[in-house]
Amino acid sequence: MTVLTAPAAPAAPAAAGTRRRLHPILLSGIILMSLLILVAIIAPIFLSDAAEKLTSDTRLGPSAQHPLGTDEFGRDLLARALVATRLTLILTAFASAMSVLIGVAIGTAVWIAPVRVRKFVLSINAVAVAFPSLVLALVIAAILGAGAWTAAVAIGLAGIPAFVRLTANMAAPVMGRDYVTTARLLRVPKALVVVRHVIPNIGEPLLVLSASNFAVTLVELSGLSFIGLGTQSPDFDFGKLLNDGLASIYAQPTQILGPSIMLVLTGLAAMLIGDGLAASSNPRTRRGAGKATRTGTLRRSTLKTATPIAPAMEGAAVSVRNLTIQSASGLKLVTDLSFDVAGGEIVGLVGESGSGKSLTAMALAGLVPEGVIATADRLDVVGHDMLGTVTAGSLARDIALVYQDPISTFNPALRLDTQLTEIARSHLGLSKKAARTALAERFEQLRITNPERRGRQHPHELSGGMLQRAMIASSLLAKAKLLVADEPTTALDVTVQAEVLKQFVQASRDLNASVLFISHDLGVVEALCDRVLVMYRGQIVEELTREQLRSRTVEHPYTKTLLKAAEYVEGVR
Amino acid sequence: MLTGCVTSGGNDGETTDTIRGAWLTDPTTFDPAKVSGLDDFRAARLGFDTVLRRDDDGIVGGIATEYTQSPTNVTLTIRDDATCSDGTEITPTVVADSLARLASAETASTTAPLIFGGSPVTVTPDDAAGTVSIDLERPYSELAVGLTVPAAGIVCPAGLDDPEGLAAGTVDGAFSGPYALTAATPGVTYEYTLRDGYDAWPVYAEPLEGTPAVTLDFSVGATDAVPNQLLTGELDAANVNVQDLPRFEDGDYELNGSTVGDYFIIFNETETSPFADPAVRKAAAQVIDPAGFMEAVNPAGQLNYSAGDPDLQCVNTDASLMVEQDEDAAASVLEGLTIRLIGTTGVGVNGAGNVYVQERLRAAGATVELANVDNGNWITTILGPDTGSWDVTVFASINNVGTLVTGLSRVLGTSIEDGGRNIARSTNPTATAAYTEALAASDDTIKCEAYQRAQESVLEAVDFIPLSTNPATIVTADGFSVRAPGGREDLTTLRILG
Amino acid sequence: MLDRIRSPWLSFLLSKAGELLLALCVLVLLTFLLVQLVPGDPARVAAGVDASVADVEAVRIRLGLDQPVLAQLWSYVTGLLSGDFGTSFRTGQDVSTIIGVRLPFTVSIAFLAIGVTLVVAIALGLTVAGLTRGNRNRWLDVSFSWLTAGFQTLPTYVVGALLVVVFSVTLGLLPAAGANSPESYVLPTIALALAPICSVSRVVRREAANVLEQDYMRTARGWRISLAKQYAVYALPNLLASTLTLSGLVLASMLGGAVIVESVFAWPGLGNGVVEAIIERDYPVIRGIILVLGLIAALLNIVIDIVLATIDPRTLRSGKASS
Repeated sequence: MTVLTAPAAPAAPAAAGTRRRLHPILLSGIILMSLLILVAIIAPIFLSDAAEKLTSDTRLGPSAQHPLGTDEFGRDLLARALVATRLTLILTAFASAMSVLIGVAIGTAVWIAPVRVRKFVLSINAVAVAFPSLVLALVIAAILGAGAWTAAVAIGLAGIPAFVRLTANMAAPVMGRDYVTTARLLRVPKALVVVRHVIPNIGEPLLVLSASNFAVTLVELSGLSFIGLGTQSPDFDFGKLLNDGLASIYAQPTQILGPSIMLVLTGLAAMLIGDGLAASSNPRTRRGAGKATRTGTLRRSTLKTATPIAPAMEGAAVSVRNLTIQSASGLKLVTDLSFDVAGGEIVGLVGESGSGKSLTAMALAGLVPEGVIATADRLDVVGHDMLGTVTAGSLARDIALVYQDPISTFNPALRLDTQLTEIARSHLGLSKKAARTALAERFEQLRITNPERRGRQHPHELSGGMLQRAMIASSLLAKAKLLVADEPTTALDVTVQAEVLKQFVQASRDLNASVLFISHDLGVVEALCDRVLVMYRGQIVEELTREQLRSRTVEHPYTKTLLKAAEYVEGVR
Repeated sequence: MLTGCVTSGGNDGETTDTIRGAWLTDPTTFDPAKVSGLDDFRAARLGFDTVLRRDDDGIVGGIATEYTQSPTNVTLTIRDDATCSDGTEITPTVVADSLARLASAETASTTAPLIFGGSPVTVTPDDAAGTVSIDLERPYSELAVGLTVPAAGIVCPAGLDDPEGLAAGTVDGAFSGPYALTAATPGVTYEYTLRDGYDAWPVYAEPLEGTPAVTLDFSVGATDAVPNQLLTGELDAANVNVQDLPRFEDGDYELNGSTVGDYFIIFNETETSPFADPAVRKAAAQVIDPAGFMEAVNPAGQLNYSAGDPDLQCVNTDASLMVEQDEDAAASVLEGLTIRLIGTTGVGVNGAGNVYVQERLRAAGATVELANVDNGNWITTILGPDTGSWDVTVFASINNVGTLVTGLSRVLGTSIEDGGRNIARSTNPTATAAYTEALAASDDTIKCEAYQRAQESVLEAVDFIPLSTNPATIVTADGFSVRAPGGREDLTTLRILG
Repeated sequence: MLDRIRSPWLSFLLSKAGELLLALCVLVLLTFLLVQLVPGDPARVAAGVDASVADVEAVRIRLGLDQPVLAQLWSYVTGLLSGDFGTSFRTGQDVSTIIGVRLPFTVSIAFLAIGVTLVVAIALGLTVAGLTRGNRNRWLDVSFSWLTAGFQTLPTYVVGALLVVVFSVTLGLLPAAGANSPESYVLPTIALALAPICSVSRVVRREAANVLEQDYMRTARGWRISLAKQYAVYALPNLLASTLTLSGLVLASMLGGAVIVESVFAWPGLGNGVVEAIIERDYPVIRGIILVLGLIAALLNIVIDIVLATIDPRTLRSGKASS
């Protein structure tokens, strides 16, 4: 038994927590929109005359006095483009708000209404959504008469069905949640439930969609003006200016330059805000400005250590020396890990959540995830030097991975045999038919019922236990030399666990493969493993043999705590 | 028959016998008597010859070689070598049958009143003498000019026998004109083919050069794209809007102008409109400057001094009859008034002309509600029974007939409701009497003198405000030519130059 | 009732057929009503500006407009059931003929543009998502956002006009208008597809970023297959479902965009036809074209639903994926 030195004090936290800064895309959108709003407020005050008064300087080209030239009435084109901002923004905001507010209201209301009413309304809505909105707006505007506000109403109305559908769809999963069912059972009025639970939950995605809806409405409004049904003289918005200038697009192109640019900038601002909001709400992309360090890499360590690197154990299948994994900001998640695994040996890796077990396993397989960087002095895995160049094919064959959550591990869109025979077909050169037959044989071996038909099914048609067995079956297919199992039974029913474990052990015996078995359940580990490595906070604190574990001969205080906890649970069971 | 070399047309120097043009939209009918849209006129002109033709300085022969005219009669001498597209000889009887049909109440041709004056018509052929005599119950001095209009195209017996087929353009034997309709794909293209053995080309004072095309190909509905297609060589000759004309100024293209009609302001003089008061009308005329309007709508036009273009016979050209601009005087009358102005989006780019008028009235202190609408809305409003929905309009006339009648009848005489054409619903007995005299005149001098009195009277009462002409321009590529005899578009003058 | 049908596909298709029928009924009623409400007198418009009041009345009777509204609706519906869409007020042609001639032009350009959009947008979005994983290539992320947002807002007619100026008039490479040759399809398709490509690629990028983070992609990476295979075989199918759902609207709206593109390029399709008809108050043509456009849109959505069900069989159980 070896006792490793007590772990060093945890690495100092990264330089005082990064401030929650505004995502750059959101920031640029807000700045741009603010500028436009500023123009909308100020321009009409100072530039109205230049934009509206008829002069005799008609159809002039660009000059110092008139940067974009003048139109057929002698009005300055740049001034017109800037002054038009106000009406455009107001109309777009009005139409957009109409679509969103009424759409959301109806979309939530259908969930308050009885089921039949909901289905009926949503069916009608589906038809309305399908209809090209521009044509719908065209007809509405033709009926209401041309004009800025009727156009805005027309577009606003035409946009309602889309938001009804989006809201109803987004509300659906919320209505299925447990807390909603609870509230209903407690006789909370349905309307209250919907408003209090649905709206806050869909608030953020709705905000994002509203921002992009603003941009769409902007374009559609200008489309109506193109047909002549939008803003009428003497009013003018971007769409009207575009329409006026379009006829002269070839002869006097500057006439559409101004409104085109303004239109694009406004749409851009709205969409950047939408994009930025979406990026901010997504934790993965939230941290905007970060160092541009490449993550997800596995490299040979460049640190010079004082102590020489211990040589690999004789005949080891796996040999790890000084594996260190740290986050992009420098936080050490796994520190100087060193261990060996013999051929055919089952080694357990235990520890609490966050101890670094999974990361270690992934690093071993060469699948360092995004966000962390791994370095080591040596990482030899079943004959592959993971720190050097590896041949993908043989690596895929030699190392088999079984993940924790079978449901998410499988690709929901593809049939089982397509996925599970990938290695066999790509790296073992089997034909599709041969691979499928071989897989079916393995299924049978692992006591999966209906082995021939299983392959053609989709993952959602199998239970968790069967999926795990299927995963194990695929590793058999590849004749892996190392099985890395990351909590393979944690997500399964207790009744199924034992069975899967048995087959797992059997499989590894058949292959004579080494196994790295990760778990936080000491009971399972005790039954299975030849050796156990205890990890705490990214370091191995103790190494036990099966006998030591069984006899509870442990030294490290953390291991003792673990055992105590396991016993407690045992006692309660 | 003009012979000439078949020459290079288009960009690639190859010889061609086809001219590719473009029409605005599908013709609504191929029956000349039923024409209503611009493209109907074009189709009618190509397929059907009229007895008389316009030239720059008057009238020349078409199917008729000569004519005599009195206030109630026109007698035509028909040429002896004209044939229909199915070989039938065009005799005076054929001509008479066609004209009688045009004038009949059963046909209900909307152009017939402008041709014949609106009273019952008797058409008598004399095959032996080779003449056709047209007698009117009421005098109408514009009959001869009326007979030059495409609507008066002579329809051959095959067409008269099958009115539905005639309207659809499917009667091969109906055509009396130089071209027959040989292919029609609505919304896409129309093809005309030169008739074998056609020889009845009008003899213009200044002869046409070049050779007529064997095939005419008109694509439809391409208005925005037409200038581009002319520049890329996909089209040879087509109408181009005023704002795109500068793109053709480099000399390889010819700009050929014609007059479609005129713009003038018509006031609603019924009691629901502020313009029932002549002082208000005069005030409006004091701020609306025709020159400014023309600049906004179509600088390529000409200023008008009456309800017709300066090329029309007997039209007023005396500028002193116009109301002088006086913004202050106008403001004292117009200040605070609410005015409902209606016009189509076709008056200049997106109704720029309407905007101009609106701005001018606003400058004088009036509140102006502008209805910038499409054609359907506009004609329903100004011609409709509800005269209480508008106060003033920018009127765009289509004067294919080319007489003062088209425009003047809109501002004097019998109102729409009483079966006439007066949109202003004005009452001006002096003008009406002089106008009737002009139509009954036995010679041109009397005619023009009476017309002048009528025009003076309506101008003095400011029943309308003359603005400018509504010109059209056909751009022809190098190697092609077209002409507008008498200022009216005539596609039978399309030629390939050699 | 549908739950009792055993085969999920059959009940799915039946519910789709029901949707189509409902869409049809709503469209027929809607097109009739909307057209009645457009201001302006079609009899006067058809008769022309030179027609006398008596002439207009004669036209009104000829067009059947003197009948009470319900009678007009009845004859409209019964006509439709026998395949008669009525005759144009303007030219007297059969509306079904007018539609029949114009339909292929609109459909060809719309579907071509849809195909181009899907192919380009999915490739683009997937590539950008892959390249910007884990906050790599920030510049690509930002410029992608800016460029797609910018081009999406540029109105179709401006794009079309610019394309014509550059490629037809200046460079002489492609025809400026008309539908006469295979080359004439190029510019209108680009003009029609540009904005949808931008918006769909943004959707794809977002969804792809999501998909690429999923556990099953980690599994696929573990199999050490080529990047192309990972994306095309393992990421793409999961992407398609949400992309099609979110883009369904965009794709259907391309029919509306076709209206604008048709006018810029003088494309002899339904779009041009309906704009003209509205101006001319040609009721039967307006009704006919809007009905057909609506039908196509409804069919398109149903096709998308069926494709979604094929890709992701889970939606069969849950019913309509796109409603």
